[in-house]
Amino acid sequence: MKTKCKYAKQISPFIDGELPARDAGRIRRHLASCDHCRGIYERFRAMDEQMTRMPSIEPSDGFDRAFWRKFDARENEKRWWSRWDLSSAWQPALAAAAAIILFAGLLLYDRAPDGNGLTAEDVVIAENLELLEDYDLVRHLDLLEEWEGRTDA
Amino acid sequence: MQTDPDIQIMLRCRDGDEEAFRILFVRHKKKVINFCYRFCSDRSVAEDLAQEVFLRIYRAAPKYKPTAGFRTWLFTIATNVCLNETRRRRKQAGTISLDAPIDIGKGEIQPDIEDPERLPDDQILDREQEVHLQSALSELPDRQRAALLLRITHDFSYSEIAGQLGCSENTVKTLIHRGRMGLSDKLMPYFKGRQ
Repeated sequence: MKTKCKYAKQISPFIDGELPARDAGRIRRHLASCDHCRGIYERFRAMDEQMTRMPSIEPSDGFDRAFWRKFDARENEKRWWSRWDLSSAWQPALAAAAAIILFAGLLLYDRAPDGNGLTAEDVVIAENLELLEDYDLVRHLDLLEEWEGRTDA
Repeated sequence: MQTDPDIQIMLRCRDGDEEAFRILFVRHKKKVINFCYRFCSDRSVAEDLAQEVFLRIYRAAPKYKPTAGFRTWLFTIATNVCLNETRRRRKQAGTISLDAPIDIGKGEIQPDIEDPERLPDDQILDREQEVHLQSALSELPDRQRAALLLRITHDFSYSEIAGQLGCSENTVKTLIHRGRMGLSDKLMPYFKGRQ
């Protein structure tokens, strides 16, 4: 059905009492003179009447029982979760624990080996390897001198 | 609004009174089942949806604020449950097979009636009308169907429906007008046949 009259769109709100009094009066007068709109109006009214007359269905026999079973199941589930009540008292402790874990994680990350499998300390040793080797010699120089003295003797 | 007795009961429910919830359940279950039934055209699905509506009400109770009439709030939840369910079923049907029929009740519309052979002629005619109307309703787009049911069978105003569907009053006006036009088109042969 085409809404070829400009007033046709106002028929629904007119039927539903959703038009201001002045607009409602205009539609009422229009309906008296426009066959097209009057046809729509009458069909809409007939459909509305049919819809309001559609018989109600009654809840089935097992409806209440099925509902309360679902209700109890949800309640039990809720009670199980409520043992892990994270809502109020535990929140500061959990927040503190989370902060500690985060801090420790960041610290470990900072000390973690880089892409070559070396720590920052390993890199320093590698860069000064020669000096450190010499340092070992210098550290044990007295032993070396003692050993050389014995061989000379 | 504070004089709405259901709001007072719901406030008791908010404070943990389970008996208050039982009162609301008993008082409104039939209306909610019928709304869901008219929406999805399947009795068993309608009862499941109605149960979900009441479970959501109970779950939402601790945060309940009486900003609208209880019935308006109840049907906002019922509308959302119905719209979500049809969307979910349609999506599910789409992921299983494009050829599979979408089970939102179409094709299985059968009014809950006694044996038609034992009914007088005018009642048979009424039942026949009901089947045609329910079938036409089920073919409307979901939001048009919801708006029409809320307006015509539950008597909500455009402003209340706008709140329930989360849209403007102008959109509601369009949904209802198009819904009525759609029904009229689908029922035209039937109207002509009876004239």
